[in-house]
Amino acid sequence: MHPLIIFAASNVSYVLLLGTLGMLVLAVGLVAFIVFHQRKVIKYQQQLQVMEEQQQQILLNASIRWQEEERQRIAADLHDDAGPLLATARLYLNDNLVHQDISTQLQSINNAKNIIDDTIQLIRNISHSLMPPTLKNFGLESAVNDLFQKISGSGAINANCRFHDYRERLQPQKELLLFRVTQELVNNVLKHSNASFIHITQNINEGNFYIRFHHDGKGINQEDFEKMNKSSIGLGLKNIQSRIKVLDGQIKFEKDNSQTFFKVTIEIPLQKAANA
Amino acid sequence: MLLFQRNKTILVGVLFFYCSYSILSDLFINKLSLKFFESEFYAYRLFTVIEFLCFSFIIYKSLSSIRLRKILIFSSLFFFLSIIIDLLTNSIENFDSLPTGVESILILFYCILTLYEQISTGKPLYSFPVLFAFSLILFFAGTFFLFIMSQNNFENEEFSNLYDYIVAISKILMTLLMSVGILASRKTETQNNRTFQKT
Repeated sequence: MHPLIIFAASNVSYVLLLGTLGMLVLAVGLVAFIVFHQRKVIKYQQQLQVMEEQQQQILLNASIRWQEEERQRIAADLHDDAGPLLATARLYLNDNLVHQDISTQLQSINNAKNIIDDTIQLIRNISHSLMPPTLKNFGLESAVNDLFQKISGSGAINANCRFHDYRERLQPQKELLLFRVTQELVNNVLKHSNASFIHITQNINEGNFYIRFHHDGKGINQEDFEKMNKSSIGLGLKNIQSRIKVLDGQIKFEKDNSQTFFKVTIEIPLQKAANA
Repeated sequence: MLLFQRNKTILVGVLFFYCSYSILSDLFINKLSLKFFESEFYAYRLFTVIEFLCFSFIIYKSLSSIRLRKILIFSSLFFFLSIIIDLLTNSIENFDSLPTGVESILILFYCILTLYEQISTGKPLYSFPVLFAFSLILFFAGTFFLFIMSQNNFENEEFSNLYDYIVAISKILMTLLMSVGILASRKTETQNNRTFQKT
């Protein structure tokens, strides 16, 4: 065979082997990349799931703690206020009352009646704190208006609210959750922000129900909120988060465009809010 | 479940047909072609078409996205176009490098589509479509250069020997991975059935 043909033949084989090897290396590289990438994705998803479970646990604990605190508060109200009142009324209506003169009897009965009236009022207040009648009968707008009138009436802070698109009421359970979130946020503003005004607006946009809070005091941003949600402090904020989660909504803490006021936006999908 | 079973039976049937045809091709069909048409490239050309149709069909059935299925059907037209161009520009008694090259590129593309779908839907790697795609990637990447260069070098004895070695090794690797894929899908199915029975 001519040496040129031998050279050409071995050259072709060399190119073929090199090309095949190159393609194989590329293919193996691709396969390896996919395998490692998939493993990484799975690991990331597992981590995310663990974090999600931890977050759920924190929210659940917060919710249980909140319930316990609420029960303790009601128990304390009943024990410390209603208990002594009823005990005093009983004293006025003791067995010796029949042996006393008419005027003393009437005086005692009148005192006991007044004390029972006070007790009824006290129990009504406790009942209203559990489920505000305005919310039950007239809806979220009236309940928030009522709350803000009371706050404004105290003179501590200028509070006003405006509902732009509240023609149809949400489901009672959803309204109660939203009202509790509003109460908690307002409570936080009153306790921590040192604000001179708080303003709430409501509107509906692209099938979402929005409530926006503005105040001019000290506030928190989204990063602070998430940090506090993951820590053991900030029970109220965790309750807000768990309620918003039940509503399948979102809450955002930020400064407004002018960077002067703090803004909290609650967004709830209207369809789910109405159906759930 | 029944649909999945039926689908899987069809896929295994197509794979069985491909393997049987491949063995028959190596043992008889190439020789018959040589005997009756005085060239074994007729058998080679037929094998290329059958191979492309079998693999494309299996990948088509493995894809669940309608969009990706449409892409597969549309891009398959390029393969048939390449056959027509090859028949017009090249002698039929020559190695069909153009269709086999296009076939390799298209199958590699389909494999990437399969992997993309499997990864984006978070399905496990030890499943039939993924291992099937891996096996095809190895086979077609390994034989791509070989097929491209065959048209001009098939008469070269050294090249011809290398051709046999490379094709044989690539086919063994591909078949092994496919077998693992079938076994993996059976195992996953058994595990799913057990979980289903438990729940």
